[in-house]
Amino acid sequence: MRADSEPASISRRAFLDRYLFTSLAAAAVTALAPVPFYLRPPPAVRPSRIPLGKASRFVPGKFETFDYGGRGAIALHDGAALRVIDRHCTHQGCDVAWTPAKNRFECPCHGAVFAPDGTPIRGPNDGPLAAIPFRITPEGDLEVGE
Amino acid sequence: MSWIEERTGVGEALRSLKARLSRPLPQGSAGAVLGSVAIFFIVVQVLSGALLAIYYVPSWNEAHASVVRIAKDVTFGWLVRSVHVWSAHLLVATVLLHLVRVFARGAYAKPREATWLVGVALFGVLMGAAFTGQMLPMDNEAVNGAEVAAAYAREMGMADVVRGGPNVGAPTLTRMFAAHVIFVPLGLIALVAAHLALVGRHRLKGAEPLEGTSPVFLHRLGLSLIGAVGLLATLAIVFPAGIGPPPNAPDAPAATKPLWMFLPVYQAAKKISGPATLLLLLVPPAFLLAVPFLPRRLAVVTGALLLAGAVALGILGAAS
Repeated sequence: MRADSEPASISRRAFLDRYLFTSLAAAAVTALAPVPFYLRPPPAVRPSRIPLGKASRFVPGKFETFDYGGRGAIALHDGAALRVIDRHCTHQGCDVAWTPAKNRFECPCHGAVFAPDGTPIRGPNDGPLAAIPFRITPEGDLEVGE
Repeated sequence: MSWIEERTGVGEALRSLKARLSRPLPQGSAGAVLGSVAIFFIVVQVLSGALLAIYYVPSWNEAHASVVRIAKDVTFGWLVRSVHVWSAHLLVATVLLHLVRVFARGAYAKPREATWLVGVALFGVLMGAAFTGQMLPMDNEAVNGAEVAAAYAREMGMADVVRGGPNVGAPTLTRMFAAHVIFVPLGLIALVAAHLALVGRHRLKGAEPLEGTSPVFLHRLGLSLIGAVGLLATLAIVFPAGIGPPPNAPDAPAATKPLWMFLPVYQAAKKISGPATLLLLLVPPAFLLAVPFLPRRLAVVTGALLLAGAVALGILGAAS
């Protein structure tokens, strides 16, 4: 459209029409702008100091799964040491299963295999399973988390 | 565009809607936009409520934490929640002004009795929406509110219907949630549609002899909506909605006050006990439903007395 096809001035009524329409359209766009941000869920808070009872009950072979901030986790004694491992498989995020008979983790989705400390042995993976920090209090209680 | 128009007629529908909104207004109708502003707030409620439902967990034990998560952790969650809460307050306030204005103008008279009655039903649904909505965060005010509602319902032998069981508990929240997110919106959609159809049919009081077109209503509506958006945004951003402690928290106050629109009943109920409390709940709606059929003078006097009484009780209740 050529510029000189616009009238030199617009009527008061047309101005009001455009003013109201533009303002309301701008308000609608502004109001919708936060929605995409709102839809993305905030990361689950990693809980600190989840009590798992006395550390001494984790005798060799003993294991216990628990919820760690929305992720599956496991505490186990593999005969060598007490370990607390995030069960989130590094391949595509399935929860790996602890197989006590073979002393290793096996992923049900694509067959990845990990050692008790999370080190990958074979199968598709993107690094070791995450170790979750833990401490044993002076009273002998096992506390998981930062 | 003509492809769409040929198949849907959406442009024609919009032009027809615009023509209906471009009919000339009678004198003294500056307040005629109040109903439209109320519908705007209803739309805001539906949209912001749908967003809240994404994160809200309707569980007796998890509801409070989920609302705290919306308010603290979710990006812009505080804003969505504040908009929902403030828009609810503004909606009830707008509807009250609309009701008082229509009453004062006697615009409910023949042939608009049905419009008025549907409007009264809408007002009732909105009060129900406010009550069930403030229950959902499951803070101490919510639980106290449910206890009070059950106490009123007991006088009608309906306490179990409100509570969903012998006590206020998990089934109560499930009921309030279903009422708030399913029954209230369904009722609003049906009643607003009926209300608008009736307004379209009968036009405004005094508009019958007016012919031609006029942009006045649409311009007033546009300006009013800009004002409504500005007010809502200001309130929601400057005064974000808070949330009380959970009901069993050590710092939870034992007694709480209801939402402002329930303060008149709350205050009056302090002096009344037993079945007479029912009168507090039944007289105002009974009067509103009877208004179109009462002699004008009787309706005006009774209405003015009830309104003055409600305002006075509300102020006393707020100050108590």
